Amino acid sequence: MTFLLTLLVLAAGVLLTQKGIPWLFRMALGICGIHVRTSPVTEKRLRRFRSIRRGYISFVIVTSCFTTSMFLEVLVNDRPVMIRYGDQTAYPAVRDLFNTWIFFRDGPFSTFDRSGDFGIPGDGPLDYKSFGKIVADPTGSFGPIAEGLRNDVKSLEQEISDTQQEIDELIADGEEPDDWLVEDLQAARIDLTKLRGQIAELGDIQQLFASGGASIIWPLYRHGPYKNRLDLPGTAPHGPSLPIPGLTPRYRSAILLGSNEQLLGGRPTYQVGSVDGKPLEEGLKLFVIEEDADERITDVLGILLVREVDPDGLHGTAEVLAQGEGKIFPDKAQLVSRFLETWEAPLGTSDSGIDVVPLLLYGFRVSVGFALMVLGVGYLIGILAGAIMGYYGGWTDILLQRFIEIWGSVPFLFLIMIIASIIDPSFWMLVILLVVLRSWMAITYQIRGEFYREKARDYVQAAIGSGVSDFTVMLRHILPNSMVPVISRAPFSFVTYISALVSLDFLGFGLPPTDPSWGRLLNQGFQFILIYPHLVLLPVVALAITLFLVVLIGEAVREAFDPKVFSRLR
Amino acid sequence: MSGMWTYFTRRLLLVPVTFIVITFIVYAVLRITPGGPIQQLENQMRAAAAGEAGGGGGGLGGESVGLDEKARDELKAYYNLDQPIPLAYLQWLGVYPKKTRTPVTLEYRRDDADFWQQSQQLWNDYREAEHRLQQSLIDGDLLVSGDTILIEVTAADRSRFPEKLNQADQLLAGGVSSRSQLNRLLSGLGWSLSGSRFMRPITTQESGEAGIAAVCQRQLLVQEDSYRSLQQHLLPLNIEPNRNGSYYHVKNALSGILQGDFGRSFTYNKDALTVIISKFPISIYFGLIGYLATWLVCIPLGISKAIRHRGAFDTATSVLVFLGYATPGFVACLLLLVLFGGGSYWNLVPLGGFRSPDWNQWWQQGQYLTCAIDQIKHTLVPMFGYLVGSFASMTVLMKNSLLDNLGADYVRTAFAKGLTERRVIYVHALRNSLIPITAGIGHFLGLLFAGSFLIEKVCNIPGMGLLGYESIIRRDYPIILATLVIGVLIRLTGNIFSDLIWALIDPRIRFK
Repeated sequence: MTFLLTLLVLAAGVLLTQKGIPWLFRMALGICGIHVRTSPVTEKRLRRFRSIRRGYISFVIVTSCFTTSMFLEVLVNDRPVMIRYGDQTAYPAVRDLFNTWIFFRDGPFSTFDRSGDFGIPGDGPLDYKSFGKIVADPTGSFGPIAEGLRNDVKSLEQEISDTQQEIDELIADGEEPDDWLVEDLQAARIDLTKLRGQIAELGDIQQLFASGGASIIWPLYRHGPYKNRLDLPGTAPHGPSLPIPGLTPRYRSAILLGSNEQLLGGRPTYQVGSVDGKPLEEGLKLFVIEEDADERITDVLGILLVREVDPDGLHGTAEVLAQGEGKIFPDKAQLVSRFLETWEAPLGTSDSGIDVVPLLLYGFRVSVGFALMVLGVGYLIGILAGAIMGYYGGWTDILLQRFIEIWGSVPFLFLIMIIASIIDPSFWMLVILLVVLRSWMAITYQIRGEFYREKARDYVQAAIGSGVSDFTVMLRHILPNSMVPVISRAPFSFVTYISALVSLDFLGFGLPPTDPSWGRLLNQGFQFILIYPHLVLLPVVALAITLFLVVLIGEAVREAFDPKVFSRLR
Repeated sequence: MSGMWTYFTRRLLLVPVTFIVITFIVYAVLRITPGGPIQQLENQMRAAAAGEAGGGGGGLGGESVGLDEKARDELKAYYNLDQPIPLAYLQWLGVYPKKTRTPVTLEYRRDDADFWQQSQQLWNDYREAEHRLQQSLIDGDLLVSGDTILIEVTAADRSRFPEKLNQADQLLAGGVSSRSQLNRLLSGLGWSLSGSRFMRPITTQESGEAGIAAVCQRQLLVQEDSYRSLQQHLLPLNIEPNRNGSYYHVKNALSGILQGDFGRSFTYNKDALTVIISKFPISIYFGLIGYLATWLVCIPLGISKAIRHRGAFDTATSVLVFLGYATPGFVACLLLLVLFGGGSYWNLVPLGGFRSPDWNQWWQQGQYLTCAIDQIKHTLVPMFGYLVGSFASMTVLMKNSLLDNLGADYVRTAFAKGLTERRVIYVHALRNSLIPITAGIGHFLGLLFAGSFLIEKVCNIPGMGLLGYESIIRRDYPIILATLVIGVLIRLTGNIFSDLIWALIDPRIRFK
């Protein structure tokens, strides 16, 4: 079902990107009174681009994925798209979406839903997961809440009687009880009436849930990129739970045989033995769990890493990777290597326990968005500078050339690192830094050359001669004829900017630490390089696929717009 | 030819301008931004103090720990941070004289025993005066700041500014978060904060009276006088004392990078240039091997792709080229380390480093084979990283340049002469198509000496790139600047060198 829905969403994304957005664009331009005419040459180039299958398909994939990723908040989020309780409705994920796009993360909409408004007693924020559970199973899940409230009532009654007794004793001793004691008593009594009221309402609430008066719509994937997965057992990072060969820790069980005298790297070691008769492997990670094996395992005492295997293969020495504070590993403790169900955390979690799936997806959006911004702003400035240089020539040209020559020699990554080590740049700050220090220069020289050449052409001279202003000549006449180097270079610059962002994030000088990013994931993988290969491999695969597709687009665009014809004899 | 020489002269003339602009930008950025060596030192002291206090004591304890004003000024002077930025930059460059302080050795003092005995006497006087002052300060519960004595705010003062003091009390109760606001409020009154007490300078009236404050004020004057006479005494020898009892030779001379003085590294406590030069061989080793590998792979590949243009081999290897373009070099290194570093998959290569720690031992024991294998194992991953980094562009450059030449008239002529295809391609066309690649050597110089800090970080190679990266993290200004200077110089000259090579080997090239 989820799978089908995902396909549907992707199809909608493709449709929106390929048909909807061009249509919207044309409409908007039409309203503004601009009619886009494509020249026959451009038509031919576009046709040629479409005819290069691999490039065109990559183009469709990348653009559609990016448009779809604009709606990630309602597709992949830890908050539901909609919740309804009686006549109360709320759209938490939709609010997130608007918050993101209106103010870039700190938006104007409240992210808070009061628990009491949605049938779960209390004034705190609504726990969407438990709300969802009750919707799915009103009678079964409601028990614990009622039970909890009853327990609260009990403990409150106990407290009231204790306080009353204390006051009575004080009065019996002839002393005046403290004011705060009396106030406490009154407050507790008020709480008690409230709680009793809540319990009385419980029946109605349950009735409402059971009769279908409440509903919840979840996004396709129910974990977000900002919240850690506290629902998973063990310690972060978790390996992927999907059975990916080489990445997923295979399920193994073993037994703790006793502690060793010998230390490994300053850490205590234990003797472990295989239970199932299969040989142990070096690098196997084993969780030490409580004896109670029938229950779903949640209590992990520590983690062992098998470092040496005895010749018989069934026994080995394991070093302690982590040990719960104050916990002792009991003798004959059970060891297991994995306890996630297949779809629990398909690609595992990061070192702070954040699910990798949303991290990769939101990271895609951030990376592509970042590269697009840098590309757009940088090319805009670059075209402007190049146009001025090529059109006016003379001293303007010479001075700007020298300036670019000097500015181009600034080691920009080094300078960004120095600046970023001091001010912790935000997304926009990084865009500006990269534009100012590098990207605006990428295209300037080509544009200058094009303008230089086009200006000498008759049509431009005719336009100048008929008194058209410089700006109009540049914008209306020369620019459309000088776009070829811009378009054919853009995808390759795009690749460079994504790499730059990943490098900066990897070094820790990039986006703020709460933002999802591939580079930071790589850095975490680098720190856990021996034990958590998924933290390196997954972002590398994501990065390589994205950039590969963009390079394919670039190759096709270059082929279509700026074909090199080689002729050779044999 | 003359046009070409004008071109190169212009390029060379632009080098100093570029150099000055770049270094000035970085110098200014480094100086403007907070977190310099002094702050680092204070952070360390604070961390140490917090460690001793066992994390207790709340936020107030940390506030008072740190350097006092005098020590801070002295450190500023030591690191040349007390000068305005343009002046300090000129001093760093070595075109404006700078005061350099070198400690006076005991040996030096032996030569003129009388003089030094006298200075010792003056020093003792100063210490005595200081001691007396400290004693009186403790007795009177007073503090000293600069050349004024501070006294705790009295009830009379409180009645003068009741509102402001109430506010100050509240801010004080607010803890560390409101501390900056409190300081602003107090400095508006001319007061200061010590621990949880408000202090104000004593008035002239108070210093004229017979109280303990007046005594302190006089003792302070005596102390300053004795210090000044010590200074006067040492002045003829160009020696400055400091208040900790050490003496420094002071030399006012040009001493900057033009004189080869890059300053002392804060972290290594060595001359910055020495530190950097010591890292050169490692960077050059990996850079050179990476570059050779790139040549060995890309040139044959580019040639065969050009010969089989649009053939099956060309299309198949294009995928490789695109993948190479899509993967940054350091990411390729990471991938290799995960796969072959002995974590979850194969254990073929070490996790980084230049050599194994035991390498020298093996060498002395004569296990040359082990040494060689070890060295090769450590070289493989970074080499691959450098290879991936320039694989795509180099291969495509080679291919396109050969294709260009294969369509040229002279190739047609060679074919027409009846030469074999092998001879035409490998002797006539190839020689000309290698020109652009050869000219790229100059651009590579930067990478060769400076290394890629991303690859060096991933593979943990202690080369110049890693040094630059770590110096940024540790705010080691002399090293940051020295890395920058060397990097920029190599790059600038490398670019010109490239063009020069190009012009020399290809007579068709004309620079305007």
